[in-house]
Amino acid sequence: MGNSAKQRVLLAPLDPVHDIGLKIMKRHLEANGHETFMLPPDYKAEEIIQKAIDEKVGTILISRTLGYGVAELLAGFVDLADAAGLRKNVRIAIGGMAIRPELAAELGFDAGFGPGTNPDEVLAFVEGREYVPDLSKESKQKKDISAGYSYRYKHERIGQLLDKIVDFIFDWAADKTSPGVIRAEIREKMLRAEAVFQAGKVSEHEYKKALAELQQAYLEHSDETVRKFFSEGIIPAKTRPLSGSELASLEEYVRETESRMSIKRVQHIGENPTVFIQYGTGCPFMDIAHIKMGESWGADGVVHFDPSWGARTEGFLSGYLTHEEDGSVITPENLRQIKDSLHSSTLWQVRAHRGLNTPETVLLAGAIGADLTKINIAYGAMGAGTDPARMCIDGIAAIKYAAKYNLPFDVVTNEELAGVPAFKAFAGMLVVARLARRLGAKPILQPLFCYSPEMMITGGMEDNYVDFNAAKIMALRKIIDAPMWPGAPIGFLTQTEDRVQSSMTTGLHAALASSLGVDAISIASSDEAYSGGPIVAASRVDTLQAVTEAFRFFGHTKIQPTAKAERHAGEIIAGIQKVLEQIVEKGCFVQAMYDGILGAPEDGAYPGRVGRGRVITL
Amino acid sequence: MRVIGIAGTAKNTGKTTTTAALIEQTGRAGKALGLTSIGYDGEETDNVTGLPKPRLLLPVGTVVAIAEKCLATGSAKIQVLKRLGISTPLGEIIVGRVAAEGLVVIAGPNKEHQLAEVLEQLKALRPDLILVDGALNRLAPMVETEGLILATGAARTHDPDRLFRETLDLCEVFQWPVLKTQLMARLLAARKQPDSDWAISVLDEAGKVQMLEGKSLLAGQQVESLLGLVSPRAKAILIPGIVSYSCLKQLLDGLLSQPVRPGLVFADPIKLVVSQDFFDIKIVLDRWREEGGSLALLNSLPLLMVTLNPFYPAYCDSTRSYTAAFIDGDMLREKLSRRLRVWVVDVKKPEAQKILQELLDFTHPA
Amino acid sequence: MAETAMAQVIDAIDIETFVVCSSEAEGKKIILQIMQEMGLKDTDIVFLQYTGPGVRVRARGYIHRPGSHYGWLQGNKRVG
Repeated sequence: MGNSAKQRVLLAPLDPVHDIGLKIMKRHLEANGHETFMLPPDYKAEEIIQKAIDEKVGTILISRTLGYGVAELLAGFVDLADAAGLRKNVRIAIGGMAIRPELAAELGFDAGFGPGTNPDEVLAFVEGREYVPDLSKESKQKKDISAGYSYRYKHERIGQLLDKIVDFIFDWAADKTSPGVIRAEIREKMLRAEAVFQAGKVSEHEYKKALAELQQAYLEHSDETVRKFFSEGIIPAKTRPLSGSELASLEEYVRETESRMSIKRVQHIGENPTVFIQYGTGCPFMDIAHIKMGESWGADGVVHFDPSWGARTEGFLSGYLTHEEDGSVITPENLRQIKDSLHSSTLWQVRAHRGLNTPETVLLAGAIGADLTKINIAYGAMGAGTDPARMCIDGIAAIKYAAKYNLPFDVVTNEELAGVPAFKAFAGMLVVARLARRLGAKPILQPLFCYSPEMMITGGMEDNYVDFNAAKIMALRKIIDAPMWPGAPIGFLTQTEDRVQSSMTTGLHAALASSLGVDAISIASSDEAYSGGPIVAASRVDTLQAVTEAFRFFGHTKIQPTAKAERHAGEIIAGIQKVLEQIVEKGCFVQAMYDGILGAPEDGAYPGRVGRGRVITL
Repeated sequence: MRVIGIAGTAKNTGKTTTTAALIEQTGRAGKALGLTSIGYDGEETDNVTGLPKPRLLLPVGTVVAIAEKCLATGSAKIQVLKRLGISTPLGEIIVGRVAAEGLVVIAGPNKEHQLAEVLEQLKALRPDLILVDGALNRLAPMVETEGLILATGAARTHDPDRLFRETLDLCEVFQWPVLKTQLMARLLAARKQPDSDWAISVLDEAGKVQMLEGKSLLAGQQVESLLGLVSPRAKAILIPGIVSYSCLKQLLDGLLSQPVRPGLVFADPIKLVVSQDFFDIKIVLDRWREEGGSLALLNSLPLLMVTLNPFYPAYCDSTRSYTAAFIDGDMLREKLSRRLRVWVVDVKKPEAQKILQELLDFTHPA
Repeated sequence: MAETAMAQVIDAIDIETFVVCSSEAEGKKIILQIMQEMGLKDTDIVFLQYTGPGVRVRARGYIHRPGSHYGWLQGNKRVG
């Protein structure tokens, strides 16, 4: 047991100048009820010892920066204290740069405290008890970033237009389905069969038989690549299965890492947004290593990033698969492996926003335990290459699963990167958000924080990167009371391949996001602009550090946009309203996408072709 | 059984090399060895300079008292016999026996009173010789040993003349006479309780003892009070703790202004040599003797040998790293041998083995 | 050729990486060994932080300390 009785502590800087560490300790010790005596810098050893005797202290804390000859000086101090008979009752510790426990032992001190020491460690030493890190301070809780919003429309006209458009969508989709929706329904049955078997309600034979039948039906609605994988065992190029021993060593790695892991915090104040990083190196193992590192450096959430070919292929593969290129293959096994490796406080988003497997992705994410997903019909169709009709049908099914599994999802607007003006992208986002609300789901608005291509052309961001990004948030706030999660990632197109520049711009965009009071942000690594190979772990640390520092720097300080921001916001709102009115005039959301109302070829947007003609009318 | 301490005057003066040579010699004589350290030594690279350091190879049967974290670091297999409940920055001190030969990192208790306890535990295992390895320039705990080997060398200063003078000064203190038994008895009798600590005391011709609060002389007012107790009949002044240069100078200036020349008594040589101003202290003490004063010790600590290491790490400014450099060790060793009553040895020279053999002299136990 | 290339480094080479290890001390040891294996002799650890999964580290190998002979000043003939 420790001695928490009031201690008398002598603080002696042996450097020619006062050490800030000792001053911090003085405050911390006094705050904990101990009495301290701070000596001026550069006292002689004998004078320090005399003071310790006079004041009858129980502890002496010395600070000194290490350098040539300093070791002997410090050992000499300890020796003198010992010869004076002081060390029977007085304990002596050394703190300073380059101090390690081994060195403290060599020099004869009772303890040594190096850079990064928690003041509680020194307090524990003074009180004569073992230091047990206070994990509760570091423990994090998952935050529901969609909580507390009414989704009420402040802009009545836009609200009315959105409802009309959603009515069109429901009418249009009423008699339609797609291979993607059917596969998701089959997958639901597979998951149910598995649950029934695991509950011991059917025999293994019955289960396997049922599963084989479902698998057969699944393959009927899948592409050749998927059929060949299951029937002939042909694995797609650049993909390989992971071995059992690889899996076992991964599990051990995760266990060991968790046991010694501390978790930093990126946030400095409560109002700072939740911070997400993306992963998707291609290999679930590397992903997990990056996730663990990201968690320990303060990432609150991680986003599963799948390869683009996965979105263009009907059907999922199975098993533990690794992939050599950008994006990690979605299979139930891969997702489970990643889920099992996550820290309990880490938010997990599995993105499903585009492509031919959208409903099934949301279903698997929900069933396996993801916290969030990502869906946007308009972006999937106008920015990610999926046929608008197909994307609409699959999107509706996906949103229904999101509602069923209570997965809030962001409605990403990355079509802006192709050159689509923000107001058009936002119109699509608001339609999907309204659709989601009508289906009982929780959409999160995701305006892009970037150097907008639209503005590159018009010169609207020539002065600063603040106004237009701020205008997006201001405009959306004037329309609806909804959660916001700028991304994805923030600072897009402002980053270069230089790590300092890249980290800096991410940090500044994070500060702007925080100043605007958004709920979450997705950040890139400092490799964001580098396209020659995979992202590396060190580059992920860079931006987490940068964002931490940006939050620390600004605290509650607000960034003040110029008057131009208000003007941009007004233009965005007017633009959104105009687009929505055009859709209403058209009388069909899907047709509006084909006709370029949500992004035209002159903007750089083309309606996607993947999955075209594969909408099934019942 | 003997307990020998190996203390250095600085880092890289050859403590570990000396300790290793003694270990080898003990093994050659087929004798059982006990080993501990007052710090941390024998690690792969020097913590400050980054240069590799020799590590200690311990034969089977050697008993050691080391911090727990050392167990995992070396290559020797050590069977833990006892845990001593003494904590150090590298964990609790354990007593163990080497079960399989190998290299060992030795970090032991780093305080005088802890070393006393550890030595009791090692003695109970009855080795023929116990070695206490030093750390850096640390000396204080060595008062618990029965004899000291002083490792010095160019790493302390590579000015051979200065090294010569400093070594003479250091060694001279160890050769001071021990206080006469009769005076010792008077001082002992004056203590309030037999086991209480010594205090600063003045003994007069009549055998009367006057005492001050405290054992170390570090404050100017203390010196004033002490001078106030000194009568023309003062016979001896005991300072059982440490003394600062300025206080000692103030005291001796005060005494020299009077005709009185009491003997100055210190607890042991270590109390003086640990001072960072030792060489200045030595100058005023020498003057005190020249003026007719005398010096004595309560307890002696025999100096057995001086080892002289010609090596020093030379700091290169342009590369900001250390490289090996040497002074002319042979000449300095000869010069010192002529002036000192103990062996002066370079343990890396072939003739050193014979001297170590003679020093340890297991045929005639001390 | 490698020597002349190295000589053109104005002062030092920094290695920025993340090393998987189970303690700060182990991380230091590993990165110093890496520097040695890379043939960098005059090395230092500029930054190192351990959080559990490993260390984020910047290690430095000096090629030209201020005051030494600068290879890039000597027509690529020798390294200072």
